[in-house]
Amino acid sequence: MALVQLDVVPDVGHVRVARLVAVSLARVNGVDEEVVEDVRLAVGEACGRAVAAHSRAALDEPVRLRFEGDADAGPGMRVEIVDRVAMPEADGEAALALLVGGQAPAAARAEAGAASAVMALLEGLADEVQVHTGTQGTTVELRWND
Amino acid sequence: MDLSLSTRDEGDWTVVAVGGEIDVYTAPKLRETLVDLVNVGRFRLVVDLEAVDFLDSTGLGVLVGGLKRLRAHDGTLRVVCTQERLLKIFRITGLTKVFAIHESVADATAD
Repeated sequence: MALVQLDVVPDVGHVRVARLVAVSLARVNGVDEEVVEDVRLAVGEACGRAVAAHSRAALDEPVRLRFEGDADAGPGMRVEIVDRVAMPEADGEAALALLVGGQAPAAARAEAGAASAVMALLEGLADEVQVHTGTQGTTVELRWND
Repeated sequence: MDLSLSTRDEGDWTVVAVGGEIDVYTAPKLRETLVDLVNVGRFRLVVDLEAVDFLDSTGLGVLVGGLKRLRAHDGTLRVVCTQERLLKIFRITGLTKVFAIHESVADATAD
């Protein structure tokens, strides 16, 4: 499988669809059955975060998910979850810090707690997590290598 | 699958049996149920997760919120869960230290 792209309208009811697609594609790409559950949860968390960010910013544009794997080359999958909410440019740790508590609006304090749970889950479930933020939005990249 | 919720009293305890998926979409229904119980003075709650297929951070947030609310009334919230994939989520987020997690409703309501 080269690349599958999924646009999710920013409605929390559709996050479930993203999870179902992620699970199917993880299997197509030979991800170990025990790890498939991790893919389900991690992609759901990242997609839910992105959808919530769009809703807060009143953005109607969809959140984009890109799934890439090459089952012929070996099991594993890479997933990008892309939102369009402008953030200061940052990569790595700085980007994580922004996601965890950087955006400041009213409900931010409660959200910072939820966001740190999201990041803890992503770090715990994926083999690799990378976050890039910028004026075009945030990309969360998750990788599973087996 | 959607979320199913049923509530019953067992002695001093109120058991909330949850089934299906607790996610960013369905978690508000669970929150509502917990808040309603606190509002009618039920301060000793057991949330039974044995029939839950999926739990995300939003669901965890609702459980933490429920516990906070109950503690304000000297109450408590216990969790029943033996499913390894759900327990893993409690562990990764450090919540095994926050919740008393029991193997059965009988065990959770024993004292």
